[in-house]
Amino acid sequence: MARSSSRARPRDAPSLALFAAVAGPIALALLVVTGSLGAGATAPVLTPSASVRPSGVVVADSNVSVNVTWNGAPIGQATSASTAFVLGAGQSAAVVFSYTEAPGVPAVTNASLVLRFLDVNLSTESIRAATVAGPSGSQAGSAQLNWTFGSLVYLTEGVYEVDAELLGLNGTLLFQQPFYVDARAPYVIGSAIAAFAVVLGTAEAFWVVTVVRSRRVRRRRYRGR
Amino acid sequence: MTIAATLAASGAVLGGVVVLLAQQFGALPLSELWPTLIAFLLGIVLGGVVLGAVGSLLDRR
Repeated sequence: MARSSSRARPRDAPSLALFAAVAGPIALALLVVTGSLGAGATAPVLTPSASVRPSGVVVADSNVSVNVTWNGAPIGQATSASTAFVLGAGQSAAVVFSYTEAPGVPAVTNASLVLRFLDVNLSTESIRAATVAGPSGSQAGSAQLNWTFGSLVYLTEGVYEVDAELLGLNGTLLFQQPFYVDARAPYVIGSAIAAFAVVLGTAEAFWVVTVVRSRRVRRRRYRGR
Repeated sequence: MTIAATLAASGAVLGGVVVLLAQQFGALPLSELWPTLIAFLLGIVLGGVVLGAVGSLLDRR
């Protein structure tokens, strides 16, 4: 008798459990997508692949010499999340590839910027490179990409790895250098997530107290009979 | 549903929220995704286990 009574379901348990089951994944999805898992609401940071991928330059062909700049600054300055180039909402950056190739090296045909997240290519922007034959069979050229997150910046706030790549014929990789970009979204997104987490935490704490109190009240009633 | 299951579910959400807020406001010095995600999952598991255990005790009484 007492056993079946003690197993009685609290009145608000089903709705609470349902809320808890739904709110957790939603909160996680929101936080992951908006990138507010990072440090601080003013500069939320996602560093999706810093520990996964090496930050060094990958030169598939040592006879290719490349200089890539981001708004005039060498991308070698942004080899970690803490030194990432900042890109505000709606802003674009001029990424300039300048390269020289020794004789006999396959000509560069395309310059690409690959946005990566969790070691997966999110998007690739590519442009044809203008390669000019130089003296004694060498080649040189340049390419410029005006790169932006576009309207997606509201969903992609955080620090991302971007790979600057030079490709030869048939997509042969000649050069690759990863660097980091800190995409900023309006402050309101970060603060909204924090506010949501505070409200969710408060509600959950309140419901935990409610469940425990209802249990105690039932025990007192049972003892009082 | 038993009190243990109810509290475990709430504890899991609370654990995750506490870790995220601690990280958001600088109490947890994590800035990279994977350490943060691991801390978040640990918060969920620990919150669920601890409050689930409390609920289990309440159920037994």
